[in-house]
Amino acid sequence: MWLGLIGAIAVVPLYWLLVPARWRREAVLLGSVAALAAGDPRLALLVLAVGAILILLLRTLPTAGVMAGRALATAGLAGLLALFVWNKLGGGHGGGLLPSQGGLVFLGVSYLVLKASAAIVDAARGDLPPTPSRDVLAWLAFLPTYPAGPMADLEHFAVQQPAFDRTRALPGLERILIGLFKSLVVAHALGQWADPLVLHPEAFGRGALLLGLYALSVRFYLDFAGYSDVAIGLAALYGFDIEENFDHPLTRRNLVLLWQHWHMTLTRWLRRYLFIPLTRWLLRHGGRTGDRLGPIVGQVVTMTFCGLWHGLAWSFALWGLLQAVGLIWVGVAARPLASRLPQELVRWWRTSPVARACSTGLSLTYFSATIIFVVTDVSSGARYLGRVVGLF
Amino acid sequence: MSAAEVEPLVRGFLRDTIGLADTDVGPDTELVTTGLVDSVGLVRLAALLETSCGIRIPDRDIVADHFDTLRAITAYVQRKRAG
Repeated sequence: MWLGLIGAIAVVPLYWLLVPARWRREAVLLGSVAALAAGDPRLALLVLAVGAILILLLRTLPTAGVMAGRALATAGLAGLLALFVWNKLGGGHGGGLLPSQGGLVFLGVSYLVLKASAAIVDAARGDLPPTPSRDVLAWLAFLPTYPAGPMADLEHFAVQQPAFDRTRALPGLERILIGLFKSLVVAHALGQWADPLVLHPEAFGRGALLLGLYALSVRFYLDFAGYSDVAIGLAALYGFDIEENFDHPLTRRNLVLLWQHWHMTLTRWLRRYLFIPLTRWLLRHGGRTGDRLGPIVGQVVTMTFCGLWHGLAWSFALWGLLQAVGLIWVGVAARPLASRLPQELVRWWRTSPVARACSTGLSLTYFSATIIFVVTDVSSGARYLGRVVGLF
Repeated sequence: MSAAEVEPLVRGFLRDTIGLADTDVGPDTELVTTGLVDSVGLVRLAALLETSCGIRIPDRDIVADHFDTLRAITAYVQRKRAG
Protein backbone atom coordinates (compact mmCIF):
# COMPACT_ATOMS: atom_id res chain seq x y z
CA MET A 1 0.00 0.00 0.00
CA TRP A 2 2.71 2.42 0.99
CA LEU A 3 4.61 1.91 -2.25
CA GLY A 4 1.38 2.69 -4.07
CA LEU A 5 0.90 5.83 -2.00
CA ILE A 6 4.43 7.04 -2.66
CA GLY A 7 3.95 6.31 -6.37
CA ALA A 8 0.63 8.16 -6.44
CA ILE A 9 2.25 11.24 -4.85
CA ALA A 10 5.30 11.01 -7.10
CA VAL A 11 3.29 11.21 -10.33
CA VAL A 12 1.23 14.21 -9.20
CA PRO A 13 3.56 16.75 -10.95
CA LEU A 14 3.40 14.74 -14.19
CA TYR A 15 -0.39 14.61 -13.93
CA TRP A 16 -0.66 18.39 -13.78
CA LEU A 17 2.13 19.11 -16.28
CA LEU A 18 1.38 16.54 -18.98
CA VAL A 19 -2.32 15.67 -18.86
CA PRO A 20 -4.65 18.13 -20.61
CA ALA A 21 -7.63 19.22 -18.53
CA ARG A 22 -10.14 17.28 -20.63
CA TRP A 23 -8.25 14.01 -20.15
CA ARG A 24 -7.72 14.21 -16.39
CA ARG A 25 -10.61 11.92 -15.54
CA GLU A 26 -9.34 9.31 -17.99
CA ALA A 27 -5.86 9.68 -16.50
CA VAL A 28 -7.22 9.18 -12.99
CA LEU A 29 -9.16 6.14 -14.19
CA LEU A 30 -6.17 4.58 -15.93
CA GLY A 31 -3.86 5.27 -13.01
CA SER A 32 -6.34 3.83 -10.53
CA VAL A 33 -6.93 0.66 -12.53
CA ALA A 34 -3.17 0.22 -13.09
CA ALA A 35 -2.54 0.59 -9.36
CA LEU A 36 -5.29 -1.93 -8.54
CA ALA A 37 -3.85 -4.34 -11.11
CA ALA A 38 -0.44 -3.97 -9.50
CA GLY A 39 -2.04 -5.04 -6.20
CA ASP A 40 -3.88 -7.97 -7.82
CA PRO A 41 -4.72 -8.18 -11.54
CA ARG A 42 -8.00 -10.00 -10.77
CA LEU A 43 -9.14 -6.98 -8.85
CA ALA A 44 -8.71 -4.57 -11.75
CA LEU A 45 -10.77 -6.94 -13.91
CA LEU A 46 -13.40 -7.20 -11.20
CA VAL A 47 -13.73 -3.42 -10.84
CA LEU A 48 -13.98 -2.97 -14.62
CA ALA A 49 -16.56 -5.76 -14.89
CA VAL A 50 -18.68 -4.29 -12.09
CA GLY A 51 -18.28 -0.88 -13.72
CA ALA A 52 -19.39 -2.17 -17.14
CA ILE A 53 -22.50 -3.84 -15.70
CA LEU A 54 -23.28 -0.75 -13.64
CA ILE A 55 -23.01 1.51 -16.68
CA LEU A 56 -25.38 -0.78 -18.55
CA LEU A 57 -27.87 -0.70 -15.69
CA LEU A 58 -27.64 3.08 -15.27
CA ARG A 59 -28.45 3.51 -18.95
CA THR A 60 -31.27 0.97 -18.97
CA LEU A 61 -33.07 1.68 -15.68
CA PRO A 62 -34.38 5.20 -16.41
CA THR A 63 -36.20 4.04 -19.54
CA ALA A 64 -37.26 0.58 -18.36
CA GLY A 65 -40.86 0.07 -17.29
CA VAL A 66 -41.75 -0.26 -13.62
CA MET A 67 -41.67 -4.05 -13.47
CA ALA A 68 -38.66 -4.42 -15.75
CA GLY A 69 -36.84 -1.70 -13.81
CA ARG A 70 -37.49 -3.42 -10.51
CA ALA A 71 -36.38 -6.76 -11.93
CA LEU A 72 -33.17 -5.26 -13.32
CA ALA A 73 -32.38 -3.35 -10.14
CA THR A 74 -33.07 -6.43 -8.01
CA ALA A 75 -30.84 -8.56 -10.23
CA GLY A 76 -28.06 -5.96 -10.00
CA LEU A 77 -28.33 -5.71 -6.22
CA ALA A 78 -28.42 -9.52 -5.88
CA GLY A 79 -25.27 -9.78 -7.97
CA LEU A 80 -23.52 -7.23 -5.78
CA LEU A 81 -24.63 -9.07 -2.65
CA ALA A 82 -23.21 -12.30 -4.06
CA LEU A 83 -19.93 -10.52 -4.82
CA PHE A 84 -19.80 -9.14 -1.29
CA VAL A 85 -20.44 -12.54 0.32
CA TRP A 86 -17.89 -14.22 -1.98
CA ASN A 87 -15.27 -11.66 -1.03
CA LYS A 88 -16.00 -11.77 2.70
CA LEU A 89 -16.02 -15.57 2.77
CA GLY A 90 -12.54 -15.65 1.35
CA GLY A 91 -12.91 -15.63 -2.41
CA GLY A 92 -10.88 -12.46 -2.51
CA HIS A 93 -9.21 -12.99 0.89
CA GLY A 94 -11.80 -10.62 2.36
CA GLY A 95 -9.23 -7.97 3.15
CA GLY A 96 -8.20 -6.80 6.62
CA LEU A 97 -10.58 -5.17 9.04
CA LEU A 98 -8.53 -2.02 9.46
CA PRO A 99 -6.86 -0.08 6.65
CA SER A 100 -3.49 -0.48 8.38
CA GLN A 101 -3.83 -4.26 8.43
CA GLY A 102 -3.30 -4.55 4.70
CA GLY A 103 -5.39 -6.52 2.20
CA LEU A 104 -6.69 -3.12 1.15
CA VAL A 105 -7.47 -4.04 -2.41
CA PHE A 106 -10.02 -6.60 -1.25
CA LEU A 107 -11.24 -4.52 1.68
CA GLY A 108 -12.22 -2.12 -1.10
CA VAL A 109 -14.66 -4.63 -2.60
CA SER A 110 -17.00 -4.02 0.36
CA TYR A 111 -17.01 -0.29 -0.46
CA LEU A 112 -17.35 -0.99 -4.18
CA VAL A 113 -20.50 -3.01 -3.49
CA LEU A 114 -22.10 -0.22 -1.44
CA LYS A 115 -21.23 2.47 -3.98
CA ALA A 116 -22.54 0.49 -6.93
CA SER A 117 -25.73 -0.51 -5.11
CA ALA A 118 -26.38 3.14 -4.20
CA ALA A 119 -26.07 4.13 -7.86
CA ILE A 120 -28.45 1.34 -8.92
CA VAL A 121 -31.07 2.37 -6.35
CA ASP A 122 -30.76 6.06 -7.29
CA ALA A 123 -31.10 5.23 -10.98
CA ALA A 124 -34.13 3.01 -10.32
CA ARG A 125 -35.76 5.83 -8.35
CA GLY A 126 -34.99 8.31 -11.12
CA ASP A 127 -32.77 10.34 -8.77
CA LEU A 128 -29.55 10.02 -10.75
CA PRO A 129 -28.89 12.38 -13.66
CA PRO A 130 -27.30 10.84 -16.78
CA THR A 131 -23.59 10.33 -16.04
CA PRO A 132 -20.86 9.69 -18.63
CA SER A 133 -19.42 6.16 -18.52
CA ARG A 134 -15.88 7.37 -17.82
CA ASP A 135 -17.13 9.26 -14.75
CA VAL A 136 -18.86 6.14 -13.44
CA LEU A 137 -15.71 4.06 -13.91
CA ALA A 138 -13.40 6.75 -12.48
CA TRP A 139 -15.71 7.10 -9.48
CA LEU A 140 -15.77 3.35 -8.81
CA ALA A 141 -12.03 2.84 -9.16
CA PHE A 142 -10.79 6.21 -7.81
CA LEU A 143 -7.67 5.02 -6.03
CA PRO A 144 -7.61 7.37 -3.01
CA THR A 145 -11.09 6.37 -1.87
CA TYR A 146 -11.33 2.88 -3.36
CA PRO A 147 -9.85 0.86 -0.46
CA ALA A 148 -11.65 2.27 2.59
CA GLY A 149 -13.67 5.36 1.68
CA PRO A 150 -14.79 8.06 2.13
CA MET A 151 -17.61 6.91 -0.17
CA ALA A 152 -18.19 9.94 -2.35
CA ASP A 153 -21.58 10.28 -4.03
CA LEU A 154 -21.45 9.63 -7.78
CA GLU A 155 -23.19 12.97 -8.39
CA HIS A 156 -20.70 14.80 -6.15
CA PHE A 157 -17.75 13.16 -7.89
CA ALA A 158 -19.02 13.49 -11.46
CA VAL A 159 -19.60 17.24 -11.40
CA GLN A 160 -16.05 18.07 -10.31
CA GLN A 161 -13.61 19.55 -12.78
CA PRO A 162 -10.13 18.88 -11.40
CA ALA A 163 -8.03 22.02 -11.76
CA PHE A 164 -4.65 22.75 -10.24
CA ASP A 165 -4.89 24.85 -7.12
CA ARG A 166 -1.61 25.38 -5.29
CA THR A 167 -3.46 26.41 -2.13
CA ARG A 168 -4.79 22.85 -1.93
CA ALA A 169 -1.53 21.03 -2.65
CA LEU A 170 0.32 21.72 0.60
CA PRO A 171 -2.72 21.17 2.83
CA GLY A 172 -3.27 17.92 0.87
CA LEU A 173 0.26 16.74 1.62
CA GLU A 174 -0.09 17.84 5.23
CA ARG A 175 -3.35 15.89 5.51
CA ILE A 176 -1.62 12.76 4.19
CA LEU A 177 1.17 13.08 6.76
CA ILE A 178 -1.29 13.66 9.60
CA GLY A 179 -3.30 10.64 8.46
CA LEU A 180 -0.22 8.44 8.30
CA PHE A 181 0.81 9.56 11.79
CA LYS A 182 -2.64 8.78 13.18
CA SER A 183 -2.87 5.40 11.50
CA LEU A 184 0.68 4.07 11.46
CA VAL A 185 2.07 5.59 14.64
CA VAL A 186 -0.65 6.25 17.23
CA ALA A 187 -3.23 3.63 16.20
CA HIS A 188 -0.48 1.07 15.70
CA ALA A 189 0.99 1.79 19.15
CA LEU A 190 -2.44 1.50 20.77
CA GLY A 191 -2.97 -1.79 18.97
CA GLN A 192 0.40 -3.10 20.15
CA TRP A 193 -0.54 -2.22 23.70
CA ALA A 194 -4.11 -3.55 23.59
CA ASP A 195 -3.63 -6.77 21.61
CA PRO A 196 -2.12 -8.77 24.52
CA LEU A 197 -5.06 -7.71 26.69
CA VAL A 198 -7.50 -9.16 24.17
CA LEU A 199 -5.48 -12.35 23.71
CA HIS A 200 -4.87 -13.02 27.43
CA PRO A 201 -7.38 -11.07 29.53
CA GLU A 202 -6.84 -13.47 32.43
CA ALA A 203 -3.31 -12.11 32.83
CA PHE A 204 -4.44 -8.53 33.50
CA GLY A 205 -6.38 -6.62 36.13
CA ARG A 206 -9.77 -4.98 35.67
CA GLY A 207 -8.33 -1.47 35.33
CA ALA A 208 -5.99 -2.46 32.52
CA LEU A 209 -8.77 -4.35 30.74
CA LEU A 210 -11.08 -1.34 30.98
CA LEU A 211 -8.35 0.93 29.64
CA GLY A 212 -7.82 -1.61 26.87
CA LEU A 213 -11.41 -1.13 25.69
CA TYR A 214 -10.94 2.63 25.42
CA ALA A 215 -7.63 2.06 23.65
CA LEU A 216 -9.33 -0.19 21.12
CA SER A 217 -12.02 2.33 20.26
CA VAL A 218 -9.46 5.13 19.91
CA ARG A 219 -7.32 2.81 17.80
CA PHE A 220 -10.20 2.04 15.44
CA TYR A 221 -11.10 5.70 15.21
CA LEU A 222 -7.53 6.80 14.44
CA ASP A 223 -6.94 3.98 11.98
CA PHE A 224 -10.04 4.70 9.90
CA ALA A 225 -9.91 8.47 10.33
CA GLY A 226 -6.19 8.42 9.49
CA TYR A 227 -6.88 6.49 6.31
CA SER A 228 -9.64 8.97 5.44
CA ASP A 229 -7.15 11.81 5.93
CA VAL A 230 -4.76 10.11 3.50
CA ALA A 231 -7.56 9.58 0.97
CA ILE A 232 -8.85 13.17 1.22
CA GLY A 233 -5.32 14.58 1.01
CA LEU A 234 -4.37 12.41 -1.97
CA ALA A 235 -7.61 13.27 -3.76
CA ALA A 236 -6.88 16.97 -3.18
CA LEU A 237 -3.47 16.54 -4.84
CA TYR A 238 -5.33 15.29 -7.93
CA GLY A 239 -7.80 18.18 -7.76
CA PHE A 240 -10.77 16.31 -6.30
CA ASP A 241 -12.77 17.42 -3.31
CA ILE A 242 -13.81 14.43 -1.20
CA GLU A 243 -16.28 14.59 1.65
CA GLU A 244 -15.15 14.37 5.27
CA ASN A 245 -15.66 11.03 6.96
CA PHE A 246 -15.01 11.54 10.70
CA ASP A 247 -15.74 14.54 12.90
CA HIS A 248 -14.54 13.84 16.46
CA PRO A 249 -17.10 11.07 17.01
CA LEU A 250 -15.69 9.86 20.33
CA THR A 251 -16.28 13.24 21.98
CA ARG A 252 -20.01 13.29 21.18
CA ARG A 253 -22.50 13.24 23.99
CA ASN A 254 -24.64 10.30 22.97
CA LEU A 255 -24.53 7.31 20.68
CA VAL A 256 -26.78 8.95 18.07
CA LEU A 257 -24.34 11.84 17.71
CA LEU A 258 -21.36 9.50 17.84
CA TRP A 259 -22.75 7.58 14.89
CA GLN A 260 -23.66 10.80 13.05
CA HIS A 261 -19.96 11.71 13.12
CA TRP A 262 -18.34 8.25 12.73
CA HIS A 263 -17.59 7.06 9.19
CA MET A 264 -20.12 9.61 7.95
CA THR A 265 -20.27 8.51 4.32
CA LEU A 266 -21.02 4.94 5.43
CA THR A 267 -23.67 6.04 7.93
CA ARG A 268 -25.22 8.24 5.25
CA TRP A 269 -25.47 5.17 3.02
CA LEU A 270 -27.04 3.16 5.84
CA ARG A 271 -29.57 5.90 6.57
CA ARG A 272 -30.43 6.69 2.96
CA TYR A 273 -30.66 3.22 1.50
CA LEU A 274 -31.67 1.04 4.43
CA PHE A 275 -32.92 2.70 7.61
CA ILE A 276 -35.13 5.45 6.14
CA PRO A 277 -36.83 3.40 3.38
CA LEU A 278 -37.36 0.40 5.68
CA THR A 279 -38.66 2.44 8.62
CA ARG A 280 -40.94 4.54 6.43
CA TRP A 281 -42.36 1.40 4.84
CA LEU A 282 -43.01 -0.12 8.27
CA LEU A 283 -44.67 3.07 9.51
CA ARG A 284 -46.87 3.28 6.42
CA HIS A 285 -47.88 -0.35 6.16
CA GLY A 286 -47.45 -1.80 9.62
CA GLY A 287 -50.53 -0.36 11.30
CA ARG A 288 -50.28 0.27 15.04
CA THR A 289 -47.63 -2.40 15.49
CA GLY A 290 -45.57 -0.87 12.70
CA ASP A 291 -45.91 2.55 14.26
CA ARG A 292 -44.60 1.28 17.59
CA LEU A 293 -42.02 -1.21 16.37
CA GLY A 294 -41.06 0.23 12.98
CA PRO A 295 -38.21 2.44 14.24
CA ILE A 296 -36.93 -0.36 16.46
CA VAL A 297 -36.95 -2.91 13.63
CA GLY A 298 -35.36 -0.30 11.36
CA GLN A 299 -32.48 0.28 13.79
CA VAL A 300 -31.94 -3.42 14.46
CA VAL A 301 -31.88 -4.37 10.77
CA THR A 302 -29.70 -1.40 9.80
CA MET A 303 -27.07 -1.79 12.50
CA THR A 304 -26.95 -5.58 12.26
CA PHE A 305 -26.35 -5.12 8.54
CA CYS A 306 -23.64 -2.61 9.42
CA GLY A 307 -22.00 -5.22 11.63
CA LEU A 308 -22.20 -7.96 9.01
CA TRP A 309 -20.88 -5.59 6.35
CA HIS A 310 -17.72 -5.29 8.45
CA GLY A 311 -17.40 -9.06 8.79
CA LEU A 312 -19.57 -12.13 8.24
CA ALA A 313 -19.40 -13.54 11.77
CA TRP A 314 -21.66 -13.77 14.83
CA SER A 315 -19.43 -11.36 16.73
CA PHE A 316 -19.94 -8.63 14.11
CA ALA A 317 -23.70 -9.24 14.10
CA LEU A 318 -23.70 -8.92 17.90
CA TRP A 319 -21.65 -5.72 17.70
CA GLY A 320 -24.16 -4.25 15.24
CA LEU A 321 -27.07 -5.37 17.37
CA LEU A 322 -25.53 -3.70 20.42
CA GLN A 323 -25.19 -0.45 18.45
CA ALA A 324 -28.90 -0.72 17.62
CA VAL A 325 -29.73 -1.27 21.31
CA GLY A 326 -27.79 1.88 22.23
CA LEU A 327 -29.40 3.93 19.44
CA ILE A 328 -32.87 2.69 20.39
CA TRP A 329 -32.21 3.65 24.00
CA VAL A 330 -31.22 7.20 23.04
CA GLY A 331 -33.76 7.74 20.27
CA VAL A 332 -36.79 5.73 21.36
CA ALA A 333 -36.69 4.58 24.98
CA ALA A 334 -35.11 7.54 26.79
CA ARG A 335 -37.62 10.10 25.48
CA PRO A 336 -40.71 8.76 27.32
CA LEU A 337 -38.53 8.47 30.42
CA ALA A 338 -37.42 12.10 30.07
CA SER A 339 -41.02 13.24 29.71
CA ARG A 340 -41.75 11.86 33.20
CA LEU A 341 -38.84 13.69 34.82
CA PRO A 342 -38.97 17.31 36.05
CA GLN A 343 -38.36 19.64 33.10
CA GLU A 344 -35.64 21.48 35.04
CA LEU A 345 -33.69 18.23 35.35
CA VAL A 346 -34.11 17.41 31.65
CA ARG A 347 -33.00 20.91 30.67
CA TRP A 348 -29.99 20.64 33.00
CA TRP A 349 -29.05 17.30 31.39
CA ARG A 350 -29.21 18.88 27.94
CA THR A 351 -27.30 22.07 28.72
CA SER A 352 -24.91 21.54 31.64
CA PRO A 353 -21.21 20.95 30.84
CA VAL A 354 -21.03 18.48 33.73
CA ALA A 355 -23.97 16.51 32.36
CA ARG A 356 -22.39 16.67 28.93
CA ALA A 357 -19.14 15.23 30.29
CA CYS A 358 -21.03 12.42 32.05
CA SER A 359 -23.10 11.68 28.96
CA THR A 360 -20.03 11.67 26.72
CA GLY A 361 -18.22 9.33 29.10
CA LEU A 362 -21.15 6.94 29.21
CA SER A 363 -21.45 6.88 25.41
CA LEU A 364 -17.74 6.34 24.94
CA THR A 365 -17.75 3.55 27.52
CA TYR A 366 -20.68 1.78 25.86
CA PHE A 367 -19.16 2.12 22.40
CA SER A 368 -15.76 0.95 23.67
CA ALA A 369 -17.25 -2.03 25.50
CA THR A 370 -19.02 -3.21 22.36
CA ILE A 371 -15.92 -2.91 20.20
CA ILE A 372 -14.45 -5.98 21.86
CA PHE A 373 -16.75 -8.02 19.58
CA VAL A 374 -15.06 -6.52 16.55
CA VAL A 375 -11.65 -7.81 17.58
CA THR A 376 -12.56 -11.21 18.97
CA ASP A 377 -15.29 -13.84 18.92
CA VAL A 378 -18.47 -13.74 21.00
CA SER A 379 -17.37 -16.02 23.84
CA SER A 380 -13.92 -14.41 24.18
CA GLY A 381 -15.49 -10.95 24.08
CA ALA A 382 -18.03 -11.92 26.72
CA ARG A 383 -15.25 -13.35 28.89
CA TYR A 384 -13.25 -10.12 28.52
CA LEU A 385 -16.23 -7.95 29.49
CA GLY A 386 -17.03 -10.35 32.32
CA ARG A 387 -13.56 -9.83 33.75
CA VAL A 388 -13.92 -6.04 33.45
CA VAL A 389 -17.03 -6.10 35.63
CA GLY A 390 -15.59 -8.72 37.98
CA LEU A 391 -17.69 -11.73 36.96
CA PHE A 392 -14.80 -14.03 36.08
CA MET B 1 -50.89 25.08 4.45
CA SER B 2 -49.00 28.36 4.86
CA ALA B 3 -45.61 28.91 6.49
CA ALA B 4 -47.43 30.29 9.51
CA GLU B 5 -49.23 26.95 9.88
CA VAL B 6 -46.18 24.74 9.37
CA GLU B 7 -44.31 26.11 12.37
CA PRO B 8 -47.00 25.31 14.98
CA LEU B 9 -47.35 21.84 13.44
CA VAL B 10 -43.62 21.17 13.83
CA ARG B 11 -43.55 22.71 17.30
CA GLY B 12 -46.39 20.40 18.30
CA PHE B 13 -44.41 17.42 17.00
CA LEU B 14 -41.27 18.52 18.85
CA ARG B 15 -43.26 18.97 22.05
CA ASP B 16 -45.38 15.81 21.93
CA THR B 17 -43.05 13.34 20.24
CA ILE B 18 -39.55 14.58 21.01
CA GLY B 19 -40.27 16.18 24.38
CA LEU B 20 -38.94 19.66 23.57
CA ALA B 21 -40.71 22.57 25.22
CA ASP B 22 -41.66 25.52 22.96
CA THR B 23 -39.28 27.72 24.93
CA ASP B 24 -36.36 25.40 24.06
CA VAL B 25 -36.82 25.76 20.30
CA GLY B 26 -36.19 28.96 18.39
CA PRO B 27 -36.42 29.38 14.61
CA ASP B 28 -32.70 28.59 14.25
CA THR B 29 -32.25 26.03 17.01
CA GLU B 30 -30.30 23.15 15.50
CA LEU B 31 -32.36 20.03 15.94
CA VAL B 32 -30.55 17.32 13.98
CA THR B 33 -26.91 18.35 14.20
CA THR B 34 -27.20 18.65 17.99
CA GLY B 35 -28.91 15.26 18.30
CA LEU B 36 -32.20 16.64 19.65
CA VAL B 37 -33.92 14.92 16.72
CA ASP B 38 -32.42 11.64 15.51
CA SER B 39 -33.13 9.54 12.42
CA VAL B 40 -36.24 8.04 14.00
CA GLY B 41 -37.55 11.53 14.79
CA LEU B 42 -36.78 12.67 11.25
CA VAL B 43 -38.70 9.79 9.72
CA ARG B 44 -41.69 10.49 11.98
CA LEU B 45 -41.54 14.22 11.21
CA ALA B 46 -41.42 13.50 7.48
CA ALA B 47 -44.49 11.28 7.81
CA LEU B 48 -46.35 14.04 9.66
CA LEU B 49 -45.43 16.69 7.07
CA GLU B 50 -46.48 14.41 4.20
CA THR B 51 -49.85 13.76 5.79
CA SER B 52 -50.56 17.28 7.01
CA CYS B 53 -49.06 19.36 4.22
CA GLY B 54 -49.91 17.15 1.25
CA ILE B 55 -46.33 16.89 0.02
CA ARG B 56 -44.19 13.93 -1.01
CA ILE B 57 -40.77 13.78 0.66
CA PRO B 58 -38.21 11.53 -1.08
CA ASP B 59 -35.96 9.41 1.15
CA ARG B 60 -32.86 11.32 0.10
CA ASP B 61 -34.39 14.61 1.26
CA ILE B 62 -34.61 13.39 4.87
CA VAL B 63 -31.33 14.98 5.91
CA ALA B 64 -30.14 17.71 8.25
CA ASP B 65 -29.89 20.20 5.35
CA HIS B 66 -33.69 20.29 5.12
CA PHE B 67 -34.72 19.51 8.70
CA ASP B 68 -32.16 21.02 11.04
CA THR B 69 -34.11 24.10 12.13
CA LEU B 70 -37.70 25.29 12.22
CA ARG B 71 -36.80 27.87 9.60
CA ALA B 72 -35.25 25.24 7.30
CA ILE B 73 -38.22 22.88 7.71
CA THR B 74 -40.70 25.64 6.90
CA ALA B 75 -38.69 26.72 3.86
CA TYR B 76 -38.44 23.11 2.64
CA VAL B 77 -42.19 22.55 2.95
CA GLN B 78 -42.88 25.78 1.10
CA ARG B 79 -40.51 24.77 -1.70
CA LYS B 80 -42.13 21.37 -2.04
CA ARG B 81 -45.59 22.89 -2.10
CA ALA B 82 -44.53 25.36 -4.74
CA GLY B 83 -43.40 22.37 -6.81
